[in-house]
Amino acid sequence: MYSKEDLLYRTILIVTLIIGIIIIGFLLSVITQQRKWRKLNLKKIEREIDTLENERERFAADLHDEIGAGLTAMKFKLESIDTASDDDQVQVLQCVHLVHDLVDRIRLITNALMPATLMNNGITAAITEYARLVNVDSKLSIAFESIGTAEVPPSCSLHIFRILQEIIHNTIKHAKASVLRIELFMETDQLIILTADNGQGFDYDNTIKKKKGLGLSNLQNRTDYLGGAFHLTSTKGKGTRCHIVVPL
Amino acid sequence: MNHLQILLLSLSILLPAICGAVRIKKIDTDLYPFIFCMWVAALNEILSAVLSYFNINTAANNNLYVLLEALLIGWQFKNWQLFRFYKFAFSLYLLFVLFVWILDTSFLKQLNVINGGFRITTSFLIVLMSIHVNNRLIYHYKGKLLKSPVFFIGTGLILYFTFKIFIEAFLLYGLAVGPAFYTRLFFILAWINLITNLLYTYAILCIPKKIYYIEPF
Repeated sequence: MYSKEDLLYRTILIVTLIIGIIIIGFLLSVITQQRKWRKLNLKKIEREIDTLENERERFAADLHDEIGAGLTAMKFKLESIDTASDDDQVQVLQCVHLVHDLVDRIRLITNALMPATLMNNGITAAITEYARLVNVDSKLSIAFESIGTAEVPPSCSLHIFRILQEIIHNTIKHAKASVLRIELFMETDQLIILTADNGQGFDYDNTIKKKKGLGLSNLQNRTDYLGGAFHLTSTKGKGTRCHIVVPL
Repeated sequence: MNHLQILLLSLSILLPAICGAVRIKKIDTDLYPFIFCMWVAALNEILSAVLSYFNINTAANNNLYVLLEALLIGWQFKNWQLFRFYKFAFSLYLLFVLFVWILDTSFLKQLNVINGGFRITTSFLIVLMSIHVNNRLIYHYKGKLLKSPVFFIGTGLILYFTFKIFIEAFLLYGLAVGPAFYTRLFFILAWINLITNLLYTYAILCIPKKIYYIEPF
């Protein structure tokens, strides 16, 4: 026969085991659900990004082939006009300049939408070119440095380019910075992207809380799509810094 | 089943404490409160072992330890942004913990008597906060949960403190049983302690390296 103490102890032991099994079951369910949700979320991001990129490609092609070509033809036609009066000649020349500027603008937009340099010469050349255009076109000065990024596969290049494009865009639009430093290098089998600006910084928590950070979620989504990790730190008055790791 | 077995199982806390000491310089400061908690727990276990050897009551140091543990775990939850959306939530948590500790240790009991009421209250809070943090991971954690230190620490906290509530409930008002029964009860908790400490060790090994940033100039 068991004593009262033995019976009580056995009851406690059984209850302990039952609670343990319930907790383990609950945690296994959490792990399974998270795995399912992660896959679904990744598919959703994949679809969104693919749709966006296809649209950009189509838009860039339309701009380049139709509007760009039309404007170039118009420029040649204008240049061939032989006017009698000097005033008319000046007007025609001004029109030629305007069309010329428009063609340049369209080339810039097309390049931002679907960078030809990226497709032809790779990520380093594309970012160098983009940084040069930004340096000319805005008050922001970009210092870009890249070490050993030749191994970046083309499938990743476009997304990395978009990530940096978004960071540059955010820096111009929100940071009020004069300098943006970008570093790109390989560490074992990972690509590391580091950026730092000297802008006004922002309250990260508050931005997330007010659900204002569309650009931030784009950065996060692109990084998730590549299976990487995105880290950002920002202090008001002390600029914003990013650390992005992309497995290759 | 004897005191030596319970002691050996409890000293498994040295595993996460040592791992924490080895890795602390390589990891982000976010998880420092948890590592500090492991160190405090390890020190308390060693101190309790020494005091028990000389037949000295260990209730006082254990009572102080549970207070520190509740404060450090609260700080850890703060670092995990649990109190982010409520401005005074962390201060309220600290005040509440201190209030219950003073109430239970000074007014209801004494420092050299186990403060069961405080332990049950804070364990309950820690379990609730851990469940919340683990549930949040389902939607916000982008990587694999099985490699997440937060998930394993949260799981360890849920596991240990749920059983702690259960066991402490038996000790709160005292049962008409002999000391051998309590030793058996602590033996169950010591095994749970071992499982939890193994989870904590794995979690510490999973903590990614510190994130570094560059300066604009």
